[in-house]
Amino acid sequence: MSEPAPRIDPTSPADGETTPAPLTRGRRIDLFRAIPGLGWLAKRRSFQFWVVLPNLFLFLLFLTAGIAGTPVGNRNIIIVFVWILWWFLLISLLVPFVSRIWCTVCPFPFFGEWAQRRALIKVRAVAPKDRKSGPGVVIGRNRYFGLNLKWPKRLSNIWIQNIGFLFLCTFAALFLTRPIVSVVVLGSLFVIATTLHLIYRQRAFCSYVCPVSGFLSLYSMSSTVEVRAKDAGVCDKCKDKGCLAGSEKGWGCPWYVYPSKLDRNNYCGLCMECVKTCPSDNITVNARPFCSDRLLKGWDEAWKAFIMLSLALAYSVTFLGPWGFIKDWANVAEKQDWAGFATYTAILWATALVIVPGIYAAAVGLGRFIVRKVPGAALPFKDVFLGFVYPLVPLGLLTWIAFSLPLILVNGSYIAMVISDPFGFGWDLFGTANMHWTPVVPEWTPYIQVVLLLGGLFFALRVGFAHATRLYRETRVALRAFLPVGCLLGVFVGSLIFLYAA
Amino acid sequence: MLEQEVDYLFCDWCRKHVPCHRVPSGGWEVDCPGCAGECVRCDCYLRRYCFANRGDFPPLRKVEGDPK
Amino acid sequence: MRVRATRVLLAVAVLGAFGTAGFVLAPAVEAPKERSFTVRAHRYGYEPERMRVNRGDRVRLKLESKDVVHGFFLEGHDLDATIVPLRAAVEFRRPSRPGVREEVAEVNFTAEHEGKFRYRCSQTCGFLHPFMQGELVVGPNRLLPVALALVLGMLVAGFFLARFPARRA
Repeated sequence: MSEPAPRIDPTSPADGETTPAPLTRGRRIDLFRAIPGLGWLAKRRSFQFWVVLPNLFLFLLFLTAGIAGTPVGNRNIIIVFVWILWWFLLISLLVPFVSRIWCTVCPFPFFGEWAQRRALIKVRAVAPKDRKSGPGVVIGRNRYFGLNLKWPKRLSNIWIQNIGFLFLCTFAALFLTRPIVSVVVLGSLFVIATTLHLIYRQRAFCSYVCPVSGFLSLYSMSSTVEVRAKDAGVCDKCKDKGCLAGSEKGWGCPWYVYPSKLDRNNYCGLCMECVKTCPSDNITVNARPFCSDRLLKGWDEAWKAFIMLSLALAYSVTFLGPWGFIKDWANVAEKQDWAGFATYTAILWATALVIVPGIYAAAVGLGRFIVRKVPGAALPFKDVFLGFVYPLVPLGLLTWIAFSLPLILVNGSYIAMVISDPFGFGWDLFGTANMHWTPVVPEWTPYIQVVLLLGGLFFALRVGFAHATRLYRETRVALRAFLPVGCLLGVFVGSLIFLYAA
Repeated sequence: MLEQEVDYLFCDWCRKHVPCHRVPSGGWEVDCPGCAGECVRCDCYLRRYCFANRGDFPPLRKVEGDPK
Repeated sequence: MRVRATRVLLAVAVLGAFGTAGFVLAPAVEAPKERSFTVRAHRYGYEPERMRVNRGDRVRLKLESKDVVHGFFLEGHDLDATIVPLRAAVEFRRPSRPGVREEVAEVNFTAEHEGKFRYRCSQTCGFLHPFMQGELVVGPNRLLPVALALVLGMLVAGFFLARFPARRA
């Protein structure tokens, strides 16, 4: 075992099984080179602290406003800033263009990580001779505090995030409109994050529990930036592995990823620790084409795509549709229509977990059936299914943007109002508290939504064709196998267009 | 096909054997093409303690049908 | 490179053809006429939830509230009304002329532009106020057939033209 084993070519099958090739491709621009000062900034130890701190104060301000401020949602900063402004920025700009940058600035893990590290900025590096002595737990070359248990293997996936997000979203009509419910939701996440940091090592909460993290992981695959090794050869020869084990310059990757081998954005929280710890300065941030990561790796990720798509559809009906009775079903705390709420919940959960995946699986199955007699086309269902579910990543993201756009266009003027009166106490700090509610070009909404949905369909078909060709090699076979799924995507987009424009 | 003289680790996530080799730092590195770079998913591609506790090597699991 | 350029051009041509077909084949609308609706606002919706008229129609709206004070802001038509329960008249304003308000028995306007316009509550009326809305669809609303035709065109272009390089090869 002293000799190195031959490395596997990641694009070739191992053990005689079909291992999908990474579909990461396209040009890369090293942003540390292209943007002067960016690399320097990312290497500052205090970088993350200074970007989280203002967010933490804002978050505490929001919680205070939610508890002490007006119960009228559109007059309270927690509702307007979190669910109108933050949500729009997150889904429409941050995720597509800057990947999981929200995780870089997120305040939820602040206290938990502080307790784990007993440091806000500095690093606790451990010399080899001191590994067995001293307080806390040594992981890699860093010392941590708290229990630092390993996260259970059975839960090492995003199912908790899937179900947690769906559960939360079932009550969206409550927390989107009631400040105190938003406080309960956000406050609970804050407490859970802190508690889990004390029990499990590093970012277990972010990786496996945080409901926001789940869809960030999925849609960050389409993002136009990535953290990657500059030169894989340098990493192969690296004796230090500081990105993983940590060093005196930084902590080992808190997200349990191995940056030098990373080929997807899903589980990289852009904390920039690997940029600091790499002894060869071999980690950078690249700009890249939209939808560069193209491989879903498990059922949990596929179901995340189904859940997100179903929620976008359900919310479009509930919140953007004209049907008051559906709003009444969702708005159970006020209308007390428990039978209606049960119906709403049952439809939502069945659609997200069973109906949409079922229809999709049937389309994938039909595609496999069509090409069943072609020699070599009998591929494992899971491989084909995961490949053909991937188009839901760009399509889902664009659908969510199409859903979120009217929220900001119509309700954006509330932002100016609550800036002047964040608690709804009757203040007028900047003279904008009493301005009239003014939607911005709301009549353009259907046109913009149609363009976004058509764009989503374009990207979905494009990446779907790429997956089909990767799986089936021959273009004609690939297109026939993908035909049912392609048509299904068309039907979905057509239905949404009907909803938005009819 | 598993090769002679190469140690393997069974990846629970990918349900396959992946080679495991010693790296110059003294630890062991697991090469799983299915979860490249994402210990977060399968915990096998690069078992963190390979490098954290130098010299430790990943436990090899026997599974039915394995070559001896 | 030539194959790629040809494919893009063909795709644009196919999409253009489908889009044009959708535009041309949109159902024709009747001659303009006068249409009257009584719109009843309640938390959190309107009855009727959707009104259909044609471009050029003169629309007369009688607005009522079944519970609390509501608003009626019609997108793209520069009109906003405040509806008070148990009152026949509504307070009418044009958002482009802030400060000018008048009491009117009916809100009248001509549907000059086709498309879908939402009417929304403009007076905070409760928890789901920001989502309280109805829809005015002004025919021929060609966005819909054009968009659906483009979806079809995209599928046709995608599935047929993706084979193009393979055939050439």
